[in-house]
Parts: sequence; C-alpha cells; structure tokens
Amino acid sequence: MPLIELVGVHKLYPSGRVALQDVSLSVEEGEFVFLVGPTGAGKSTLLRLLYRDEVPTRGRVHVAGYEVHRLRPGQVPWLRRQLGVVFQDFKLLADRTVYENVAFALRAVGTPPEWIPGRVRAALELVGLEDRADAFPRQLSGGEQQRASIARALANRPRILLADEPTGNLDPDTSWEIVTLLSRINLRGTTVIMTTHNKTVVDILRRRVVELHDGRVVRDEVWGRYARPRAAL
Amino acid sequence: MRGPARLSEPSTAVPEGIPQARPHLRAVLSSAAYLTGEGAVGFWRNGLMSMAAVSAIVAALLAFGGAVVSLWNLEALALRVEAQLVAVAYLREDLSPAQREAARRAAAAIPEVRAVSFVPREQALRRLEEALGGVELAAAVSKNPLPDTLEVYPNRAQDLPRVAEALRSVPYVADVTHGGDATERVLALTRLVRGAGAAVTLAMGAVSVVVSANALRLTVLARKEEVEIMRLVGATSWFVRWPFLVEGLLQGLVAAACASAFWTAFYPWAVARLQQAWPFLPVLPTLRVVPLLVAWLVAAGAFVGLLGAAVSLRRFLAK
Repeated sequence: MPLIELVGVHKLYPSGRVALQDVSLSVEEGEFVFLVGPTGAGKSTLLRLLYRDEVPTRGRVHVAGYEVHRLRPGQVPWLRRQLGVVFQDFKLLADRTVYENVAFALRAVGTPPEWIPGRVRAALELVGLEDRADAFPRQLSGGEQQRASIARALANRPRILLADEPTGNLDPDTSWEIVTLLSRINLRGTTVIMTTHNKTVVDILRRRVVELHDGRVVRDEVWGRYARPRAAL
Repeated sequence: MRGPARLSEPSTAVPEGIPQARPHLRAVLSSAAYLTGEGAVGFWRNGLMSMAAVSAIVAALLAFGGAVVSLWNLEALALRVEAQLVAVAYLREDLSPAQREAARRAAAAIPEVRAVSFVPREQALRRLEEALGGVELAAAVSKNPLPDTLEVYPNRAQDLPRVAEALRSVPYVADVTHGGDATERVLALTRLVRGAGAAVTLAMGAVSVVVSANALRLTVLARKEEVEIMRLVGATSWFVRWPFLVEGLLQGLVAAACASAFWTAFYPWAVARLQQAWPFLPVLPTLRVVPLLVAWLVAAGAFVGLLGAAVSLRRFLAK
C-alpha cells in the first residue's frame, strides 16, 4: 500500500469553514510532491491532517501504516516519529544553539544520550551547517535557520518530510538552496511533501504537482508545472 | 489496510510490526534523569519566574501554616476546656468506707468513664472556703453541711449527659449534677471553634493550590514553544510533563522551606509574647508544634507544586 493515502477526506472547521472536500490522494514511498494552490485552498490543512494536528471530519488518512483518522491521543507521538515537519517560520528555540535545537528533538523522543552527538553531527552535515553548530538562531541567516530546522526534522531519520511553505520567508537564491536541499534529501529515500507558492522552483524541478482549489484536488500531474498550461484551461 | 471490512474491525490504529518503541529500562532511566535535570535547569533558568511562583506559594503556605497553628491551638484549648467538664455524684450520708468504695467502683465501671475521684466532705468544705476567698466556714457552721462526692470524668465531653444518667443508678448516690446547660454551651462553643478552624485551614489550602497553579501557568507559558516542538517531534505526554512536574515540585519544596523557616523562628517568639501578655492562656509548646508543622508544610508545598503544574499543563496536553 502507499506510504500516504487519503480517501474521501472532508475537513470542516468549527467556524463553519470548509477546508477540504472529498480529497483522495496517494503518495508512494520516495516521491517528491509539491502541493500548490492559492492561499486558503487547504494545503496547510492537508499537511496538518498528515501529522495529526487536525483530524478529518470525514474520510480516512493513512500514513506510514497508521490509521491517522482514528489514532488515540496516546498513539500520536509514535506517528510523529515517522515524520519530520518544517515550517515557514522555522520554529527554532531562540535560547539554544543549533546543536542544542537538534539534540532537543532527539532527546524528546528518548534517543539514548550516547547516540545523540553522532546523530546531530550527521544531520548538520546533511544540511551543511556543521560549522554553525554553536551559533544561536539569531546569529544565522534565514536560509541557515531553515536548514537548521530541516536538520532537526531529519535527525530522527523519519520516512516522510512535510514542509509547509519552507521558502515563504526567503529570498529567491536562498529559496532555491533550500529546495535543492530538500531534493537531495528526497534522493536519499525520504518522501517529501512541500506546500509552496514559489512558481520558479516548481517549474524548474518538474516534480509531481498536486493543486488544491477551494479544498478540492483540481490537478495531479507527475511532471507538473506550478500552473496548468494555458492550452489546457 | 483498506476497505469497509477493515474499518469495522475494532483493531488498533497502529500498524503491526512497527515497534512502539517500548524503550529499555536503561533508556527510561536515562530519560528520567535527563528530564529531572531539565526540570531543575528550568527552575534556575527561569530565575525570575521561579522567584515569582515561589513567592506566591510562600505567601499561601504562610497563611496555611497560620491556619494550621491556630487550628491546633484552638483544638488544644477546646480539649482543655472539655477536660474540666465533670459529673458530680453526691453520696448519701453516713456510708461506711466499704459502701463508699462500692459506689466508686460502680461509677468507674460505667463504659464512658475515664476517671473517678472521691472527694470527702472535709475537702469539699475546704474548696468552698478557698472559692469564697479564704472565709473560715468550718468555724462558722457547727456541722459540715456538704456531702461526700464522686467527681466523674467522661472519656469524651459529649458523653457527659449519658454518664450522669448512668450515675443515677449507682448505689448510694443521692443526686447527680453535670452542669446541664453550661456544659451544652461549652460543647457548642468548642464544636464551633473546631469547625471554623478546619474550614479556614481547608480554604487556605485551596487558595494555595489556586495561587500556585496560576504562578506555574506562567512557567508553562514561558516554555510554550518548547512544548510545541516536543509534541511535534513525537515526545510522549509524560516526557513533556515530567520537567514541569519536577519544576513545580522544586518550587513547592523551596517555598515550603521558606515558610518552615519563618514558622520555626516565629512560633517560639509568638508563644513567648502571648504567655507574657496572657499567662493563663494555654498555648502549645514549640516542640509539639514546629516539627509537625514543618512536615505539613513540606507535604503541602510538594502537593501544591505538583498539582499546580499538572493543572496548568492540562490544556497544553489536551490536543
């Protein structure tokens, strides 16, 4: 079965807003998927369903073998250990160094202390931050902060990396740097799902593109572009 | 995994074959040590916040200690007053020593009776003389008009009416008195004092918990981001909770130490002052109060710190 699968998923927020309608989607292990669409189309909601920050109103969500839609709260941590999540605003702890930020995530899942230095170093090398291990987040550029947060997401060696607008706060060059990093991580076997508004990177990379509009999947292309070609409209 | 048949099964939502990471004992111990350290570090790192929380708990524990000390002293006072409640049995005149002894034995055999003392009529007269301020009554009357009496002390003050009733059927007893209404009034007063003392103490305890929970909520809020990230990367609820519980416990214990130090110094001083001012007022001695009070404060501090932390964490872990 696919690594990630949504079947007939509806998400209705208590405010009455319909975030997702009848979304079905499956992602195989090792895929790289861009989630595109206008603001409010439901991209972030879809990611949140995957790491069970939200539960679907209707439908089924399977991630890495977990039936996420009916997971009890006590089981959520075990699902989350299969996933790494990266955000637009990095969510680094300001009072800890890069090393400590990554180690903190490893500690939080009960990694034996003697494994931690090696794991942290490996993660920092992967993102090219091994020289900045002792820096505090405020001493880093935006791109470096995002790389630190990617290192934290990957330290526990998850099967899936979810990235919610990871380049939203970055200039074009840095955005490109982050996306190629995610692409490299994908080549090592990690499944990557990334929401984005960045037309350039989507059009250059030509990976699978899933477009959401008003909570519905309106396009799912294997070698997609950011927007549907004019001829098809 | 798909299909309606699968859906109706009451199976767990967790896949088979994926380890639930039930960690080894060594890993658990290492985590526990780490988390305890994190809690202690948090206590120092959030210096000002901890100070604020500790001060709030100290204030609450001082009030709680005051309520406890007052309760104990009022209780002692009530017991002292009640111990003076006595039933008096007047014996018939001209009894032989053997008959008097039989009456005393019969009175002592009543189940609710703690002690019986025989007061000969001569002693009763002397007491009366003293009570009247040293008047020479013996010289004024040709014959001592007072009877021999038995003073009968009940186990508990509220047993007094029953003891008095039982005394009436003791042989050679002519009459019985137990203060009647006065006894009832004393008992009502001691009941009121006990009830009010206990209510105030409980209220102070509840106030301590509320104050501490609010103070500790600040600590939790200050570390909201850490909690979010821990939960995001898959920390279990207990892993998230533990450092805060340690921190709450530490804050409660430090506060208890401060409050204990205060009461250890203040109580002897207050007792000395009170006894100077009102020598007749019975006050519990320091050694009977302070060790027990310290134990209570430490227990209350620990309880309040843990409960406060748990309460303020609840909404973070609700999701």
